[in-house]
Amino acid sequence: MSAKPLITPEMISGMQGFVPSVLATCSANGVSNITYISQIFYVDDQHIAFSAQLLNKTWQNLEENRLATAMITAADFSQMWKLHLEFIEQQTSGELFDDMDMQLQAIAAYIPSNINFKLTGAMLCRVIDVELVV
Amino acid sequence: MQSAEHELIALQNRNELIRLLSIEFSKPANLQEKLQRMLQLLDENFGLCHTLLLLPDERHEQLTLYASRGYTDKTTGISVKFGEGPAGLVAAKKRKLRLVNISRKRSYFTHEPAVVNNPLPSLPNVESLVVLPIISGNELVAVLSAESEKLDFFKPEDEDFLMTLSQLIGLSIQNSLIIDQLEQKVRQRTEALEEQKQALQQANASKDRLFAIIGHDLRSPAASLQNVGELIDFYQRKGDNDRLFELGGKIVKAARNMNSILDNLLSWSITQTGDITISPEPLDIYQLLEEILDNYADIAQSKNITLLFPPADSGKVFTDRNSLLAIFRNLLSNAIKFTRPGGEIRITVSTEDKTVLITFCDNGVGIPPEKLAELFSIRDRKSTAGTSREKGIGIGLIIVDELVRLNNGKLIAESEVGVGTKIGVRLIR
Repeated sequence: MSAKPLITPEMISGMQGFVPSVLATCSANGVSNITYISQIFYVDDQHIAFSAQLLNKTWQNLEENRLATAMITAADFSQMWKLHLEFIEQQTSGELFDDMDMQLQAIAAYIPSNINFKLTGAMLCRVIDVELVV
Repeated sequence: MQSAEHELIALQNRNELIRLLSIEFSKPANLQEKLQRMLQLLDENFGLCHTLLLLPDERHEQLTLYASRGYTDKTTGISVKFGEGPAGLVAAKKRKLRLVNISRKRSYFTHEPAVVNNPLPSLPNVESLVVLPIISGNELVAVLSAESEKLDFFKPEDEDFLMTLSQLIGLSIQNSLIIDQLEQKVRQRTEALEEQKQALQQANASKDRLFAIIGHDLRSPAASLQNVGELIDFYQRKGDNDRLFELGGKIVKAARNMNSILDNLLSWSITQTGDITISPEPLDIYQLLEEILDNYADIAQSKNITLLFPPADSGKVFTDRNSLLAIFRNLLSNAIKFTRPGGEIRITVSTEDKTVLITFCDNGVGIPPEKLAELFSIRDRKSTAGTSREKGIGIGLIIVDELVRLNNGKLIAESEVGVGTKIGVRLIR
């Protein structure tokens, strides 16, 4: 029996980056880091992923402390949610990685060609809980 | 509850749409018509106003744009490599691609003005993009690309629905490809049959002509021989030995004439059935000419024709011996035939870098320009009597032409009525 869906279709709209999402992580000694991320990838109703590009501090924090929080905003529903996450692993190959890599390379068609679009990894997270921000 | 009802209605509508589109897509049509119709239906039913349909090449290395809708540029025929741009990526990976919020995503990387690194048509202010691989039986059949200037025009559920639809589209495109291939094969087969028909008609006409020639021209020497035979019988019974001896020359002449005709008929039939074997070898031109001149010297002498031929070291030619003998025999006998008594035939040999040109030049009656053009064609061919009423069957030059062609050579003919004729054969040294 599958778990109750945590991510609803309304939330997916909030992951597209119309309003940039915010990702908060915390180091082992309690120093927090907050960054904007362009897109959160919907994996299934229990999992999300984000690309591991230019996120050195976030990456360090997740290695020390796997818990993170993402805040997403669905402008068309005028809703915000907090996703309580647990970092599972960084994937550098496989279906999820290919999908994310393809999106990045497709964007390259609209951007000057001197920018490196190589995806470093797909950071897979389990959604522990979702909190509606009122 | 209300939401579930809406979902149910939406599902029913989609099912109905799939049913209608299945009917449309299954209609037989050629590829171009079918692809344009598909884009039209996607526009009318889904509001996909800016769409492209691209087909992969056989080696699956590049995509070619076959149909587009909503773009001002007429750009069909443009190709992109697999892995190049969104459509190329989808083709290479056989995975769907959905991009939304494109301008925002661009701004994360650069603030430079938008560029499009893609030869395919694209909206200048594109914000959403869906590119789907159209797959049938695990094989990439096509790539469908749809763009919009709206931020989030393509919802994930639309994309899933289009993926369902893509199976129908794939089958339909494959059917059209098969129809196109069949039509192409029918066209090719029809053309081949038409060519065969023409070749057969030509061969039939040649055969008819040959029979007519045999029927008409071979009868004369045969009748001559018969007459001579009857005269021999008559003079023998009469005991007139002087007249009997005179008949010897006539027998030789009639037999030689018949032999020459039979030689040519045989050569011609061999060239027509394709049974001839060409074995090129280095040959001494002078030796071969001497052999032929020996055979024709007495005929030329009987017409008081002077034969001028090249010096003994006239050169070598790399060709088939039997072919060259037949060529020389026919050109010389023709020249003798159409040169008036007391005339002259000059044979020259000139060598160039890789070829040698052998010419037979007479100061005979010449050939009118309209006949010169048809000199080497069997069509409507009639034999022409020589200056001493020599007879032939009119296929000597046709055989020459055929043999020269088989030996990778070239024939040159120049003539002026009343002045003479020059026939040249250019062969490989």
